[in-house]
Amino acid sequence: MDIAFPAVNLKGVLPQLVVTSFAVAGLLVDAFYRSTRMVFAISLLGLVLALLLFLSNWGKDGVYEGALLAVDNYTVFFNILFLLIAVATMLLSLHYIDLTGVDSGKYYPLILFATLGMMLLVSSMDLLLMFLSIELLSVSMYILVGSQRERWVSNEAAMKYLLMGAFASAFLLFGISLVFGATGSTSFIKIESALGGLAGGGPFLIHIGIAMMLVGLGFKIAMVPFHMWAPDVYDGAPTPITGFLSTGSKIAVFALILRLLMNPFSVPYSQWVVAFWVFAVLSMTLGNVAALLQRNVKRMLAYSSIAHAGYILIAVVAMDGRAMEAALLYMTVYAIMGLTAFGCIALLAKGEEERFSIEDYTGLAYNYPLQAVVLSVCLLSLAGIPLTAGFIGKFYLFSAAVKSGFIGLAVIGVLNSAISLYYYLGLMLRMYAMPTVAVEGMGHPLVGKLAVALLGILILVLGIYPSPLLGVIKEAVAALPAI
Amino acid sequence: MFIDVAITLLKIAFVFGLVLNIAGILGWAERKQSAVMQDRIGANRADILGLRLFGLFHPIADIVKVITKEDWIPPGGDKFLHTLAPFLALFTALAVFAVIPFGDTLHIAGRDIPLVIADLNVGILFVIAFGSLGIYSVVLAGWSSDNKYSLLGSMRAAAQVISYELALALSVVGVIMAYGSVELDDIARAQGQYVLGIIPYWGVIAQPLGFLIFFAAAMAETKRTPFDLPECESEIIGYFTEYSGFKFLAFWMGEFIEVIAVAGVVTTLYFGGWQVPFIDSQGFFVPGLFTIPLPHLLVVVIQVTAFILKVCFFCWFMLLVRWTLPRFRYDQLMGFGWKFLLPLAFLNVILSGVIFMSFEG
Amino acid sequence: MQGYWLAIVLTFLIAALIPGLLIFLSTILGPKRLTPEKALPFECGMDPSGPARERFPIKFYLVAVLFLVFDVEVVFFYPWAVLYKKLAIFGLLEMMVFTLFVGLALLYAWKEGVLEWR
Repeated sequence: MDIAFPAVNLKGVLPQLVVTSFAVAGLLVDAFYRSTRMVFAISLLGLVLALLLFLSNWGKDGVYEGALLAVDNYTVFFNILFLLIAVATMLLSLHYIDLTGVDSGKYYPLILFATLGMMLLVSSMDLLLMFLSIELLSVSMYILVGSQRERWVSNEAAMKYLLMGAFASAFLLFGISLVFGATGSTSFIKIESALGGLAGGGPFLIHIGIAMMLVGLGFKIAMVPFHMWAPDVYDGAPTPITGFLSTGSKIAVFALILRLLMNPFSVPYSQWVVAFWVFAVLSMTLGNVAALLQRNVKRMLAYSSIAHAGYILIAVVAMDGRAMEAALLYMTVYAIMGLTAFGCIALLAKGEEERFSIEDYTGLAYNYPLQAVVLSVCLLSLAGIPLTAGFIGKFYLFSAAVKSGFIGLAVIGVLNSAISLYYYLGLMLRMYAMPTVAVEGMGHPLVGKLAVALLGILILVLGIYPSPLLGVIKEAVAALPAI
Repeated sequence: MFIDVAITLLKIAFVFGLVLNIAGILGWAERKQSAVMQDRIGANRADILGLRLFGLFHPIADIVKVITKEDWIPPGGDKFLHTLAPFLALFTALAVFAVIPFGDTLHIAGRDIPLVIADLNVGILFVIAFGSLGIYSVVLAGWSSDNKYSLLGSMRAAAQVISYELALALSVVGVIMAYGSVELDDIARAQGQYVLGIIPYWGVIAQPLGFLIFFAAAMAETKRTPFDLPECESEIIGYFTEYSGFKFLAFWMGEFIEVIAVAGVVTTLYFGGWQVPFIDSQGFFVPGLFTIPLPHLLVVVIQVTAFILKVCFFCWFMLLVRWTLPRFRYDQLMGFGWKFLLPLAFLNVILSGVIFMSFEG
Repeated sequence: MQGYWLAIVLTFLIAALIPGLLIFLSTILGPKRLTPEKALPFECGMDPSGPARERFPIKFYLVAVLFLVFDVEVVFFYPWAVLYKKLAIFGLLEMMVFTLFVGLALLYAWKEGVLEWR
């Protein structure tokens, strides 16, 4: 028996290795020194190092043939996005976790592990690596969601997320096994070539497999029939983690879905357009209508994030080069908006208590001018008002849908945006109304305020001058095989 | 086909007969050994027509007595599980012997009969698997007894056994590295080589540290003193408090059979199995000097006898350890497994890797 | 050499037969006289209070989880050990890296106090 030694190209996965090493180092430092500051510094350093390494990888295309990982502009783009999201989450958490009694030593390394899961998820070229990374991401998230041990809502959210997430993972794994059974391989490249010559989008087995995988992945992005967990979990999780969960984890799985539909499942996909159309419409409509009824700001934003998942699904339905660009743009914009919104809520905490109820926001602008302004910009952007990043994102998305002939979908999307305007503006107006009771002011740390302000400015800048980002996205999409 | 089955049955009868008999005698030997070490007389009363024979009839008397005792099942307990537990204790201990080779291949009447019940190609994994399956009997016994102390005792036992399982499984890795196989027959055969021409290349020569780790961990797996926290016959109430009659004896016998199994595995992995130094299929030889040919049957008989003697030696050694060492405290017990044996086993694997590699060239 | 599965099955049968038969015999031969005192669980002579299936320390659960983690990692050593000589220096170095990470995990558990009993 001869053993072929694998050709190991460490340079391509160096950023992932860096994140892993720094996360492990962070955990060990916590175990030995119990110093939150040091853990924070190490974790941040790891993220920044990985970011620099990725920036140097930009433009150097190289799919590992027969390997598990792809390193191309598409994955590098998303990896950089995830690292930025993680950095922003860490900065927003810095003060928050001291305030609310989170076990901080494991908090930052777990953010790193979750980020690693996202990074591997978009880069994976094999169903097994995909499953492993999705589990790495999910398990880290379960713990992060429950990291406020003193608050029972946090515990409840973690338990709910864990149980339902495990259920969804089982579906995903079963779907993977059926796909493997139908094609004889777990590698994306081999699955595609196995499905290539088949009529009717492949055997029936593969469609059952795709349906089951869709259940598992749809759960992770909180797509409508599988969205039940989202409001409770988003409500119970520590607020910066809610931001992390609603942006990072969702975008990672969306990026994966886009790659799956583009690369291995491009042939059977043609029979799934209708299903995605229905999911998109359901997600948008249900998310927005349910958000109208909420009296709790975090729950309201949770439902709105379901609606935004619906908007991104429009791109999945249209599925051409233009739609891909629109999807990437919208995901980037949504990441900024989600982080800003939840970051502002985290920074509006008074003492150990947070402000969740919509009544708490009356007249808040007089005590927290910065947070109120940034949150207002963010809400306008979420609603899709011109001159904000949200408008640009929605514009590209809907026009891509129209160009691909899904005019009905675009119309529904626009109508939904109109519905959403009501609750976004309602919250905003409330903040600028006269306060009924005197609200005591709270000093807040510079780092968090700076991060939020930066994100708010970014929303405006992207709303006015999006072309550099669009250029980068064009390059990222160009790395994918032609559709 | 029929001949194969008959031969297999014969081998099973031989092995199980031997094992059960040694187990019975161990019950007597343990009492005698403790008596010798504590300057007492020990079991000597049972007799048949006045013939006492140092109390060697005690095992038979025990069996007869225990089978006719009341078989009591706690009314609050689970009847099925309560019966299943002692059954499993014996079954898992006995099943281990299926893969332990006790002699070289026997050539008789034109047939090649390997002297092992089943020459399984994953022998070591089988041994470890069935060794750890035994813990089910303990947990089930504790759970089904409707007794708080039994439950706690069984939990302690489970924690102990799974803790030492790690060091046990890891220490075997060194042996596999040295002989390049997980098949016990291959390992026994490979120990017929010699280093420097005269020293038999037994596992204990290749893996001295690994042997110590394995032996300590295996002792803990059998739940005998100094690792007998789960039972603590004399003080703490253990998991078989609510057992009587033969079911109680089943745990007791299961433990002795495990002792024999450990002795057998230690012999096979570390002490040459059935190999006798300077005797191989050609006969007795002095390396490089001369060879005295011996008939095949005689060689096989010598080897089988050597294997049995080695096993008996290790059984006796474990009795000796039991009556020499005091018991661990529970935190010391867990600490010893996790903080000492496990890191040492990791170290042993890496050290062995480096040393073998540097000898290879 | 597929014959050994037959041998394994036979061994299992006989290994099951011996205790099965003896337990069966003892249930038949033994007397049955249940008295109220005998029916109580033996808890050092005290009358038992409360149900027997009590809650017990979470420590045992932690040990079980740790065992699961490390046992799976130990199993990874086996294929390498069998092919140790063929994989040569490459395999050894890879395994050293692997052992380093497993060792770090053990160190972490140790420092976090999972291995302490009190």
